[in-house]
Amino acid sequence: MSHFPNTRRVRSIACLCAGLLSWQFAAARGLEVVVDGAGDAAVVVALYAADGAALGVAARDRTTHVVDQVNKRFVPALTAITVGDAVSFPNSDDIRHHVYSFSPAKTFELPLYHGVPTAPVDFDVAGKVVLGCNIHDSMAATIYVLDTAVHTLTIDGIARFPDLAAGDYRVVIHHPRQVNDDGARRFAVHVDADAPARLDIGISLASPPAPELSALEARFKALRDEP
Amino acid sequence: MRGRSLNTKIVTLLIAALGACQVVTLVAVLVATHRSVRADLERELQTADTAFAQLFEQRYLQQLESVDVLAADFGFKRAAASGDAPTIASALGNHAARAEAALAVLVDPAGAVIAASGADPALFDSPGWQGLVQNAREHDIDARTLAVGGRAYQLVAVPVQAPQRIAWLVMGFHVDDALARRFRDLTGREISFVSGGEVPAVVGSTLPPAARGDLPATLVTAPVDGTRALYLDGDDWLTRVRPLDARDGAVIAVLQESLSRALAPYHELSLRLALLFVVALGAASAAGIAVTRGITRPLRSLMNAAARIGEGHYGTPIAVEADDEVGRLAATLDSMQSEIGERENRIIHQAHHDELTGLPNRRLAVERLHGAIARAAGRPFTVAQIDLARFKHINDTFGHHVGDVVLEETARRLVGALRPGDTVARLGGDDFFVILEDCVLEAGLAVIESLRTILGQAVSLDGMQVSPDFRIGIATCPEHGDDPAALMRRAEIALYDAKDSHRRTVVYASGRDDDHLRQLAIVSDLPGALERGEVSLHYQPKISFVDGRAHHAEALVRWTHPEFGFMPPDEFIQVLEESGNIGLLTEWVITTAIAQIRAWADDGLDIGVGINLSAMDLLDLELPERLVAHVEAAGLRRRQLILEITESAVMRDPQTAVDVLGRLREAGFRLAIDDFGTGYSSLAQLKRLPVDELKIDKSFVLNLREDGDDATIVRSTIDLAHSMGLAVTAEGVETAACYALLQSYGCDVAQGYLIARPLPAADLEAWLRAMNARGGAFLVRAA
Repeated sequence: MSHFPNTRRVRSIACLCAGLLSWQFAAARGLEVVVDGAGDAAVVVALYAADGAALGVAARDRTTHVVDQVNKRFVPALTAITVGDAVSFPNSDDIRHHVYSFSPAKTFELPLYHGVPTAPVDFDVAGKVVLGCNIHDSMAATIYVLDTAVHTLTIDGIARFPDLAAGDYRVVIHHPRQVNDDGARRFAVHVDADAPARLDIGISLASPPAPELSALEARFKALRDEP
Repeated sequence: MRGRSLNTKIVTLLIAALGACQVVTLVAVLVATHRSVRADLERELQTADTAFAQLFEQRYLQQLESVDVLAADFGFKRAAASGDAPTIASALGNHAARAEAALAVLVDPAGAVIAASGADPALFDSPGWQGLVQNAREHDIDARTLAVGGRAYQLVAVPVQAPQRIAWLVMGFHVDDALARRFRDLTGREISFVSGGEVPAVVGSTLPPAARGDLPATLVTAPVDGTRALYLDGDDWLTRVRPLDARDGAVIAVLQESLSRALAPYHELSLRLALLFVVALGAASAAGIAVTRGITRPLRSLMNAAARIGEGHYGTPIAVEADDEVGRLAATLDSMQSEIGERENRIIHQAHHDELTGLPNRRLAVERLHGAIARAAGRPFTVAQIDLARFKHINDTFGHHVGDVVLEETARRLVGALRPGDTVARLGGDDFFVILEDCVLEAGLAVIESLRTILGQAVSLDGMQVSPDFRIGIATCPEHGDDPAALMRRAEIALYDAKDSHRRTVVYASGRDDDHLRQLAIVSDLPGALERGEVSLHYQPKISFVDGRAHHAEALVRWTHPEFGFMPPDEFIQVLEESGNIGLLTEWVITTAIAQIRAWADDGLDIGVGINLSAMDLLDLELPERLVAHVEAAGLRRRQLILEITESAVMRDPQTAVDVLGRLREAGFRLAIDDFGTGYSSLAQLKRLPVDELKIDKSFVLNLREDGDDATIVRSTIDLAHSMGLAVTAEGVETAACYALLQSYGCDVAQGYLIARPLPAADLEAWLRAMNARGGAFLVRAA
């Protein structure tokens, strides 16, 4: 538990900070995206040019993210990175894990290991990468490899993009359980030069899978009980 | 035969009853067994059905688990994620082989087939497949049985998680004969898998080939709901049907058990039962035969004994060794036999002996006489019939008791007096009979005389002295006959002669038997003689002294017997009177005489007829009415008939005679006393007789002379009669002198040879016509 602080408390602090920042940049040009319908779930909000071109990719350094494995879970379960970034998969458990991905955007395997692997994994292709552990079927995590550098992960439903040039933008919302074909939804937004813009978005998520799949027999029984 | 029939009846009944019981039992057992077996089988089949369903589900689960393990295999996931169809197909084939599955298919999350191994492409077009995929997408997993291309598969679908669902792994397992056999091993029942559709097909089965061939068509024509019997290839199969998948019923499982197989153990039981019954029947029959023999054998010996008794043999003891009812019956029959024997001896003795005296009776006397005649062989011997004289008088005077004592004493004396070999018998009443063998007539007479002395001694009884007297008739063999009947009859005739002649002992006189026979002939021949006309009436005219005319003629019976010739009327009339047969003759005389009067009257001759009535006729109370009827029927006057009754007849029973004569006179008939002067009638009696006429007996008239005694009698009789108002007829007038004398005495009518002999009717008619021709009056010719 010491590695996993109270989510609600963290989120309250984040809200307070966001509120202060919002106030501070209220007069400046910026975009506030309010996502409704995700509940407590974190949501990836990415920003593109109106024509879908990436923003700020060329002028950035390679960043290394961390997806830890704590108590037979991936932490965080949802991560958004920019193409070219790397992710390190330290193992904080005292058991071995076998992290893998068969996703087309990045197929890799980290065979059974302890501690921190020697090298982080590079993600050079945009796309959705689903992580699993070959040892523990219940472990799953998603990494969105985004081909734009402007993106954020909201935990309170509000994503702020300050200091934006006025113009038209495209907002893309990613979530593994978002109900549509590929888990992404796209919205257009205009940002004025002298006033902050606000975009209200409603999404809907499929109910999360049961924390653990019920036994096969129970599922078979349920199947048989189906009229 | 009767014994055997009883045997047969009992045994037949026994066997029939037992057999019926056994057949009923056998049938009941078989039916109950059949029902019970069928019910048991139905229950077992139901249980098997339930077990089958659970096992089949279990199998789904096992398949799901094994396929799930395969789907979780990292290598497989890696292959599935590779997107390389050949690689995936080879992995599927590899995994199908691991799971012993018939086919394996990888389906993407949208439901499209990614790759397949061992699957008929037609499978993916079937609705069942679509349902499988759809259901798997909705429920994560699915399991169902499908038929395609004549084969059936148990299909299970599980998701492939990497770790999100990247595909479904579907594996199919054969539903075939091998599977059916496995379930048969588990459930113990025949299992068939039949694919549905318009043409059902057996995809797997444990049934024998022929039954398996019949199954689909039978299922179509006879749908099974619950449990029912199907007829397959000559056998009844108890059947339950279960769809393997409730959702579309594409394949059904058919659970069956052969009734005949289930009943097979009971067939042997039935056979043994039947064998047992046959043995029991045989044993019962043998026992029945033995028991009935035990009953009927003594019964048959009893039957034989009864038959022996029926034939009159009482000597053989009845030996039946039994202490039951039959034994008691035998004992009863035995004592009955001896009692019957004793009784028969007694009856035989009684039949041959006189009860009172214990002497042989007439029957035994005849038998003894037979024996004596045979023994004598021609040598003479003597028999005698002894009659106790005035026995009736003894009985009347002293009572029957005394009479019996006298008879008993007489019997004792006879037995005591005679030699032991001689026979003394009592013929009945007061008649005894003795056979004196080897005893010629003279010796016999001597014996008889000594007997008489002994028998004649007084019998003392209660202070009374009865002195019996005896009449004895004697006959000798062979002189008086050589057969018992003749000897006995002739001894009896001698006895009667002794009685008639008031002699004590009479030896049979030759010829007496002929008289006797002649008298019998008279009685027996009379009816025939009357019919044949052997008897006729002659008429003797009577002449009135007053006018010399013949007013009447006396009818006299004449009988010319074909054997004896002319029969004297006195003889046969006496015999007929004594035998009580005179009525027949009287009736004939009356009708004949009346018919004759009628005939003469029709011919113009006015003449009456006198008819003689016997003493017996006077006792016939209906005679007056009959006479009246005859006369009226003939249309005659009653005065034309004179009824003549002898004085002696009247004197036999004067009172009755007076009554009957009175009635006859009242009826208008003219009455005459015949043969007057011979019957000792008193004047007083004469006075009372209601008669019109006296006929003086011819004994007084025949020798009538003027100076004789008869003249006095005749004259005084005529005077007496006239003084009493009676007319007088003189019979036996044969001379003119007599006629003249009678006329001088004042006699009224004359009858006799002087006038005419009795004449046949035709002759009398001629006589009358001749007299009428002469002037109608009789003329006395000078003697």
